[in-house]
This record gives sequence, C-alpha cells and structure tokens, in this order.
Amino acid sequence: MDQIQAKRDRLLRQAARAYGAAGLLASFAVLSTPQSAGSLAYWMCVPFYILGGVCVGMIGARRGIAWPLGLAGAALAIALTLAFVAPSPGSAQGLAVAALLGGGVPGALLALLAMRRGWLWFWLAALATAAAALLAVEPALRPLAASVVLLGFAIAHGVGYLLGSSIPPALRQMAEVGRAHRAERQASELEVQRRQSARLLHDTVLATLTLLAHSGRGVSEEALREQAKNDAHLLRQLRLGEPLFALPGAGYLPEPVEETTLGTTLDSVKERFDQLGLDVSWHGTGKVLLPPGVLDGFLFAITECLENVRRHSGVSLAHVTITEDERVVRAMVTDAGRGFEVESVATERLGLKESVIARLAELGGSARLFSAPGAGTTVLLEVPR
Amino acid sequence: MSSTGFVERVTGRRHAAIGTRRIWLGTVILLGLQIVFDFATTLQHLDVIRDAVAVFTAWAIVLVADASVIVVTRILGEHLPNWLFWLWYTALALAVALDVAGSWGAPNPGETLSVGVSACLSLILAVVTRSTVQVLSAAAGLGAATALAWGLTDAYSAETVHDAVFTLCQMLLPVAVAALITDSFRRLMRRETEEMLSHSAIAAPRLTVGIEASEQLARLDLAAESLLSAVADGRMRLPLSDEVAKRAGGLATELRLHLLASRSKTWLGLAIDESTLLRQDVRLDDPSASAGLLGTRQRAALLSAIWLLHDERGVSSRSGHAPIVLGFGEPTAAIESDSLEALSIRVDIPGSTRMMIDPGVWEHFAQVGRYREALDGHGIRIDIHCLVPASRGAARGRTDT
Repeated sequence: MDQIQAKRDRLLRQAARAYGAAGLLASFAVLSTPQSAGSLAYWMCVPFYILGGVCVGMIGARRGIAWPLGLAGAALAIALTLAFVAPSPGSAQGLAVAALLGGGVPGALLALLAMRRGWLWFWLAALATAAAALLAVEPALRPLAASVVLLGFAIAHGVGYLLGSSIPPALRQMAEVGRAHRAERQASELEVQRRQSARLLHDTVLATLTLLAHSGRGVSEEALREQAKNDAHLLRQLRLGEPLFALPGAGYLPEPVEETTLGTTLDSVKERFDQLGLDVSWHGTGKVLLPPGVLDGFLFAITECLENVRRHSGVSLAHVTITEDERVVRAMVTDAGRGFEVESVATERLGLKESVIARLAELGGSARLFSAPGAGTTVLLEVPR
Repeated sequence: MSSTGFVERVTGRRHAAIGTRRIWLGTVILLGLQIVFDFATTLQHLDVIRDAVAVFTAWAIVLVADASVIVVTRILGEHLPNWLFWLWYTALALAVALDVAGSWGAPNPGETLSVGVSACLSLILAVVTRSTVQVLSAAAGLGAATALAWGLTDAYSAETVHDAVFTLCQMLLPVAVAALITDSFRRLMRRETEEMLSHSAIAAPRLTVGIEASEQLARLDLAAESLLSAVADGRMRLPLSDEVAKRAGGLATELRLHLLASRSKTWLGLAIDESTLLRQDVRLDDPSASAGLLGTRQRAALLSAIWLLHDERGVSSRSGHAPIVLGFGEPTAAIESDSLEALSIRVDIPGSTRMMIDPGVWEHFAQVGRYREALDGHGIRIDIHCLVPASRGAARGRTDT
C-alpha cells in the first residue's frame, strides 16, 4: 500500500507542476503586454517570476512542501509589488494577479494534498492567499478578488480529489485485467505443454516437411503421400485437442501411460525408415522403460541421427545398438558411410548440435559424435533413467 | 516479439487507460463551469456584439456538439471514434469562427470573445480519449486561428492586447494542463499494469515460452497441416514445384527454430520481453537460463526490484541510456547444503549512485539473497549471492512451491 501512496503523491506533484506552471506562464504573458511591460513594477516582478519558475520546476522532482510554498511566496510578492509600486494599477495587472492567485498558486499547492491532513493546510493557504489578494486590490474589487481566489482553490481541490480517488478503482480494474491475463497465460502454458508433449509428432512432421523441401526425392511417391496424410491427420487432432494416442495405426505416438516401453516404438521408427529407403538394424535391449518425456527426446535423437544417415551417409544401412545400466540408457547409431569432418558440422546452424545435443542436454543426457571422412559415423546418445 | 506492449494487447485500447473515468467526469464539470461563465460574458457584451445571431448560433453548435460527444464517449466507455472527433472539431472551429465574426469590430475583441473560449476549452473532453499530442495541436490550431483573426482587426490596440492574451491563455492552458495530467496518469497506470502483468510470468516453469510464441507455434502447425493434407489428398502433385518445396523447407526451419527456442526462455526473459517499458531499460545476460532456478518468492522480489530501478531511470536524466544489465552465473555447489546450489546474480546500473536508488530495492534484493553493492566508475554494481534448490543435472526442475 505504501507503494500506491507514493504513486499517488507523485501524480499529485506532477499535476501541481503542470497546473502551477500554467498559471505562472499566463500571468507573465499577460503582464508582458504593452500596458505594463517595461515599467518599474514590471522589472521588479521579473525576478519573482524566475524564482517562481524554478520552484515550480522542482515540484515534480522533489518531495517536500518547500517548493510549492516557494511559488506561493513569489506569487504574493508579485501581487504586492504590483499593488504598491505600480502608479495606477491597470486591468493588465489585475488579470496577471488573478491568473497567479486564482490559477498558479492553487495549482502548485495541490502538492500539499499529498500530505497527511493536506487539505487542511491547503485551505489555510487558500485563506492566506485570499487575504493577500484583498490587500492587493482596491476596495471596490475586493469581493471579486476574494471569489476568484477561492474559486481557483476550489477547482484545484476538485482536480486533486479526482486524481487521488481515481487510483483505487483503477487498481481494482487493473486487478481484473491481471486475473484475465494470468488465466490466458496459464491456458497458453497448458497449450504449449500439450504441443510440447506432442514432440514426437512434431519430429515426424519436421522429417516429412524436410523431405518435401527436397521435393521428395529418393522416396516413393506413395510412401510420402501416406506419411503426409498421417502427419496432417495428427496435426488436425492436435489442433482440435483430441487425445493423440487414440489414433489407430500410429504406432510412434507417445502412449498415455507413465512409463513406456521402448521396444514397440523402436519398431515403428524402423518401419518408417524402411519406407524412406533406409534399413535400420537394431541390436541390444528390446525393452527399455523410460518416463514419457525422456522417451520422446531419446527417440527424437535417434530418429534425427537416422535421418542424417539417410540424407548424408550415402549408404542404406544403419545400426542402432541400445544398452543400459542402472543410471543411463545408451544408443549408438552407426553407419559405414562416407563420414565427415566433425569440425565442419559443428558450425552448421540447424544441425545435430542444436537439435540433438540441445534436446538431450535438456533431459540431462548427452550426445557425442565420432566421424572422419571415409570412415563412417558413430553417434553415442545417453539419457539418464 | 511484437512491437506493441501487452498493455495495449490486454486493454485493447490505444489511448483510454484504465481508470480515467473520473478524470473525464472532472473535465465535463470544468467545461460546464466555463460554459456558464462564457454565456454570462455573451449576455454582458450583447451591446457591442455586431451579429448576435452568429454568436447564438455558435452557442447552439457548441452545446449540441459537446453534448453528443459526452453522450457517445459515455456510451462507448471512454472511447471517441476518429470520425466523430474530426466532425466535432470542425463544429468547434466553426463556432470559434462565428464568434470571431460576430464580434468583429468590437472595441476589445479579447474581452468580447465568449463562445469561442468555450469551444476551444471543449477539447478538454478529449484528453481522456485522444492522444496528448493530438489534443494539444488541435487546441493550438484554434488558438492560433483566433489570434491571427484578431491581428487582422482594426480594433487591435496596445491598450487591449492583454485581454486578448488572457483570453488565449484561458482557451489553451486548461486544455494543456488537463492533457499533461492525463498523460501522467496514463503513464502511471500503464506502468502499474505492466508491472502487474509481468508478475504473472513468475509462476512459469524453469523454461517456458511466451503467449505469443505459443500462438506462433499453433500457426506454424496449422500451416504445416494444410500443406501436408494438400500433399496427402493429391491437390499438390509430387514431385512438388520449387516454390512449394521452398515453402515446406521454410516451414520446417521455422518449426524447428520454434521448438528449439521454446526451451531457452526463462520467466525473467519472458517478463522483460513482454513489457515495453522494461525492454527498453533492462538487458538480461543469462546464457545458462539460471534465472529459472529461482524460487517463486525470489522471483517476485527480483522483479519488483527491477521495476523500482526502472522507475528511477525514468525520473533521472534520460541522456545516459545505457541499460541495466542483469547477469546470471552458472549454479555451483553450495557449501551450505547438498540439496541447494549457489547462484550469483550481478546487477549493473550504469550512471546511478546509492542515493538515487529507492530504499525498497534493497529490501527486495535482501529477499533474493545476500547482496553487496559496489560503486565503480560508471555506476553502481550489486552482487547477489543466493541459494536455489539443486537442479540435479538438467532443466527438469520446476518452480518450488
């Protein structure tokens, strides 16, 4: 709540500065017209205007009542100077004083309302200003002068009141917006989680899109069409929020159980690469239990490696060996293809590094790459159990 | 991220900020007072007004125009459509012209102008619904036209020019003051709203994506779906044309980037990125996404401190525009306990001194961890040493509860 109070006070001070500056400016502009400009009284007032200008400039920046009171003091000095030094007070002087005491001073003293019992001080200042105004004008104009000053203070008080009282309802309104926003964010977080838990789906979509980008060369048209159909169907289900695992014939989807066996899913990966013209030979453990999130990432890494083999190695056979101990599950993806300079691939923008290594690192796992030109490639993937 | 802040996105309005209804009511009351006063002026000067019919027509125009604007603004909930604003402005300009013409040749035009003052002051009704610049320039336009017309009359004389100046001040300054105050109010509310909205990021898991990124992912999925189904049902012939193949490649790249990027954003990056105000002033340097390790209370305190630091920069000079830099180190093993890790956060505030920093900032930092501040040549530097739950290997950690 302290913070709110500080904000309200700052707002009042900013209002006081603008309001006070406007009154001072109007007064100075009116006084600087031919009727009074250049007279002795005018030149005596100029320093007070400068002083008032400095005070009003400081109101917004600094706390404390010295600055608004400083402006009020300068204004009273101007009013009294004009009353007693000018030979025959004309209507220009009258208007200048009215702008000052009925506009600038009440405006600047708005800053008092930021204090505790500020309104009391504000109205005491109003009475003092009115008294000074009475002193400064001829008897005939006294009622008018007093009412101009008091009306000016009343309007300023109204402005201060409206500003101060605007804040609590605004905060209530804001809290409502905030609740709505939190709900939106939560929903989006859920949506992302849903889409992210469909990572495996995205991985196959990515593979299909990449194939299409290469105009589907090297893959039978039939197979590509079939795969596009599967993927489009899955994306549609994802969009409509239907449970993905209910899809018949889509073996590579994550199953809705906490722990999934790797075996069945590995088979579906093999099938898919078969269609794409890469023979995958599995070795080692057939059944591995992994939490679904880890399984997804692990499978993605294997598929990504196989996709690389298919695209770059120049051979049509890859070996995948899966081993495990108490702590980690390991997969070794090997081919006897043309191999490459490891350094040159590490710099590739969207290569193995970002996709596989980053994804496994997120799961607490790692990927290591061994290759040399002409000597085939081996990727060692590890994830914790 | 988009260039508009999420305040606009959430409130859906460009100029009407939250909570300006009372200010608007205030402007209506003020305008009412001025109209009564000016109408009295008209009656008082009836003998010098050359064409009373013109002046009373102007009164009718102003009253009808203002009343309709008030009603429409009220009905639409502090909103004034563009076309109505310009129609209204034209009506007000016409009223000013009629008044100036009607009192043409009066011995003291500055004192005689009555409905013209009310017409110009009517623009005060728009301070809540239009941008400050627009209101100010509209008022300045009317004021300048009036002053120009007076300059052309024969009645201009050195003896009465102060009345003209006073009348112009009456026409312009209240509008200007109201516009500036509303502007301050809007900025305050905007800042508060942004802070509150940014706090909603606190509950995010260690790594997350923003609302926009999530929407973008959904859009990419949709694009991929339509492309794939077009291939599947044969609407697109295989092999694909170069153009479509390129599109598929582009989609794949974007999708891949998205799936990668989605995992690299922390709640803090999100809060800073989504806020227009913080984005200008704060830079985050957190390559290992350590900010995500902080607990909920630490996050709230850190974010509040950042907002207070941002406020100070708004108040002090705008010249030194070097951003505040938040640097997060890697978590290291803590001496205190096995289940905790130590994390160091370094906050660089260029061009600041201890005096300039709100005391609340230190309270907030103390809730994040132990801190130490040091002055260097360019400003103040704060090192925070805090303890976070051990993350065990990787980013599987969530926020503590």
